[in-house]
Amino acid sequence: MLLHRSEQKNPAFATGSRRWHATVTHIAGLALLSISPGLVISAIVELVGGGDAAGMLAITAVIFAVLGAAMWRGTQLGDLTLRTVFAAVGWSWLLVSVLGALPFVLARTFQREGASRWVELGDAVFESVSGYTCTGSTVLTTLPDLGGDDTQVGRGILFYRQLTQWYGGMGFVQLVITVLPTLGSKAIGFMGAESPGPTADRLSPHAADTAKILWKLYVGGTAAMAVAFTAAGMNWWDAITHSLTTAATGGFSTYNDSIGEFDSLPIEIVAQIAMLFGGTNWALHYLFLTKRRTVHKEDHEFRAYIAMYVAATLAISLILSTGGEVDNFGTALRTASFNVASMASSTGFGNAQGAGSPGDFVLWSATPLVIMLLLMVIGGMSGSTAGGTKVIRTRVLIAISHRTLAVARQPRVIVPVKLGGDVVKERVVHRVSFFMMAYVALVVGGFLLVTALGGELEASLAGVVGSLGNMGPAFGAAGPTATFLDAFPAPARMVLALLMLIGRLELFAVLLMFALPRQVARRAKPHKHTF
Amino acid sequence: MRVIVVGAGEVGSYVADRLSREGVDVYVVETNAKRAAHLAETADLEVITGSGTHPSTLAAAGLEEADLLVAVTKSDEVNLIASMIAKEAKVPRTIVRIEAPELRGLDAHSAALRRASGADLFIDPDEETAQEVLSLIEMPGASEVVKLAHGEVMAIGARVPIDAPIVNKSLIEIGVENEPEWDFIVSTIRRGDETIIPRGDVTIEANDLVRVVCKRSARRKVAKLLGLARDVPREILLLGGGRTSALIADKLRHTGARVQLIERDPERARKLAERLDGVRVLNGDITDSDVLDDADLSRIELVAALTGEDDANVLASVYAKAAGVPETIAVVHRLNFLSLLDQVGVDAALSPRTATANGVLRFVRGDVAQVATFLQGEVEMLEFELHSGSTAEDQSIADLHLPRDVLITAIVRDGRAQIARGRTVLRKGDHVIVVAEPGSVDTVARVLG
Repeated sequence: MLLHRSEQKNPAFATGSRRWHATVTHIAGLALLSISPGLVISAIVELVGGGDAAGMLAITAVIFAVLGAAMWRGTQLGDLTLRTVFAAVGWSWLLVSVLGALPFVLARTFQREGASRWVELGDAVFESVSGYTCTGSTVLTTLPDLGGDDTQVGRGILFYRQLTQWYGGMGFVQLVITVLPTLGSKAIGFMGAESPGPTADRLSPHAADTAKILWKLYVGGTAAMAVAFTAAGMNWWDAITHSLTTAATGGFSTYNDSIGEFDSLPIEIVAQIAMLFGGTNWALHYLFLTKRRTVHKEDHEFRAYIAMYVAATLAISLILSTGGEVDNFGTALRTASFNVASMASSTGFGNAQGAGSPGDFVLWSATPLVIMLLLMVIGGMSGSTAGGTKVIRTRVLIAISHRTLAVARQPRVIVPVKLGGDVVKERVVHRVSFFMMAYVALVVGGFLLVTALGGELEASLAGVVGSLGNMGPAFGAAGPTATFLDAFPAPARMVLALLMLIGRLELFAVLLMFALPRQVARRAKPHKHTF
Repeated sequence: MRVIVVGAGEVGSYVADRLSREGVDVYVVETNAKRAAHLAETADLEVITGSGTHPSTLAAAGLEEADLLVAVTKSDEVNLIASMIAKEAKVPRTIVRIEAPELRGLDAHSAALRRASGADLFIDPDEETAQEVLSLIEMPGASEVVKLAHGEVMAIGARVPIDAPIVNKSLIEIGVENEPEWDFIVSTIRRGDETIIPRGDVTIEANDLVRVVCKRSARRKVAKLLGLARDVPREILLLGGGRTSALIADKLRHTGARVQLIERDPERARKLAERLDGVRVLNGDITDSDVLDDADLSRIELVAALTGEDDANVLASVYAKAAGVPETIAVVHRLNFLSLLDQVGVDAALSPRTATANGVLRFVRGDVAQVATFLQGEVEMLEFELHSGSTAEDQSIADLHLPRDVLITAIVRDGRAQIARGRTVLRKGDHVIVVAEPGSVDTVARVLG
């Protein structure tokens, strides 16, 4: 997230502020357009799979294409201040993830007995938002079991559901800017507004090329994961659908029991490595491929991320095996390592074989659950597809605390905030502090709101933290083998969906998105007096 | 002899003035007219106002006839170009001051650049001052530490306290106590305002400033004899965040010492804090006692005042001494009040000028490997390399019949140091460390050169 001071003095701002919506419409149109090929593929999958929703998917594809093209062709890129960039990203995401519910609505995917049309509509939006934001919390109860009847939900719809996460993982705005060479230096601002972490990495002198590199890498990584899943024993359908949501660290599965459905150690190991891969800064993967083989080892955030994974895994396996919750250390290690990787990367896959099995962490004792909650708060690395507040922000926060204590002890001392020898710029420090404060406020506020709307205590805490961190499963009645239907009433689910969007765009885009119209209104005021 | 000095800053003016006093024809090139005028008024030399990068200016300074060009402006680029111009004009020797570590690096590109400048010697007064301070930190209590012959030989100067083992003994007595193999020798004694190169019958008195030349291995023993035996300080406070201070802090932080540094400019302090991991950087004025107290003076074992302002350095040192800091070192730029400093609580004073002067004197004195001069007293310490065909080759030192104000103190043969005795026979390739009054240097150079 780059803040160009000079932009605020930009004389174009006054005129540009009137055209902020042109930029927003232009970008959002392109974003809609970028989704329609995915809808077309889903329609074909539905057709081949023998489902009855192919037409609905095709209609949605047309709507996305026509509406997107109209918005895109009908506007020109206007003002590109930092606020506009954030607003464009925010509105694009809102539009795509809400309209993304259309196939579910048209195909009546969430039709349930005793649920009104409004609740059904809400569930469709919840699923779509949870998909695009790579959260992976689900309200879909009709998922098949392996080898069982899979005709309840068409393959095309399932495929589209997996695809939403894949689009959201690397970010469709980042995809859009690869075709917008006119953005120039502003492209990095768009990337910063969408991609996780306090700063965006530049892999090429041209920001648009950086986006292109990352998307190519993302496609390649997804394909590699599909191959690895196949090698570990999945069939091609499972391998493709699961690789889409693993690369995105989303966590949607085509099965109720998620990865636990396969009951296969090789698949769990592949999934674990793939999840951790997705939760790593993808720029590191690129540098690994092109420049140095040691970039991961040299990166302080990666080291902390892996250290966190190892420590949490060991702690939880020890607690589970010594507390008698799991028969032996081997099972405890398998269960703990998978779920820790799933949380640390904010994927949200589970390895439980049905409720009550070792992987069903809602039955664990308090300490391992608190460790899991901490992992949810911290999440993956900056520049990854993962959620959470990011390892780097926790490290910056620790450095800030250290500084505050040092200054209290010795008022004149100057302690720069450093990460592994690199100085963190003061404005990044301020932004991280603000982010963490806003994050805490959102957790508290969200917690209050969700419980007020009828959410149960344990599920609500993990649900709010998990939604903000784009995790997936929560605790209590919303655990890894359950859906969000029992734990949260429909209005509470809408609050969670909003938190997912705020969390995916790391607060700023959503906060600025709503702040903008007021800005414009205030600037427009003097005009009224001239009448 | 004709010398051109480019840059009339602190270093340049001092070198120019010192050389002109020795009868050298000095031409100074300075861009700043005010500074040029000031130097022309205060020193017996010629000042040309203009840039050292302009061949015409240098020509006006008599480039064609110059024997040595000393480029010591604050700008590396100007110094390098001045040297290139001088080399084109066939000036035999040039000395260039370079500060940027990037240009001092060992990599091929910066080495090539230095070669292209044609300079015979690169100096960095800040770096030299930093090295001097570090040597003093290693030898607490000493007022001067000079390393010669790649550090094999050291000269340690200190004002001896009344309880030092060496006090009230004649040099003969000290010599007898240390037979058969001497590993140190008393080279000069400064008593009051007079410096002498002593003979055996001289007795050392309390409060003498004694300079001892010793083998490196004997430095602890010498420290004990001079009454300096103390632990190397581990809690160090550096005052001022200039380049010298940063260089010192950078070296010290790797030795396990706890280093604090006080810098007045907030921006500079922030930069230093970012760069110097493990060094505690405070922002404040060193003449403000609150700021010094903030650094917890009661725990500090050594204070080094390194700012560009003499008064601040001295004031802070005095305050630190009064607060119980055992060791204070101060950099001084004006040398007028030097003799007063150790009375008010500055244990060691040093000047960034001397390092440059030492470099320049090497060439003015002829083929000398190294020259050390001291802030107090005119004597010089010189390191000669004995070439084949020298008149001194295969002669014993006693047979050389050197003047009374010249003393051969040590010889380094094949990298091994030994203290010189009358019976020692000099060989080709020996590095001979000599203490001499400036007036006798020419004689020594003739015999040993």
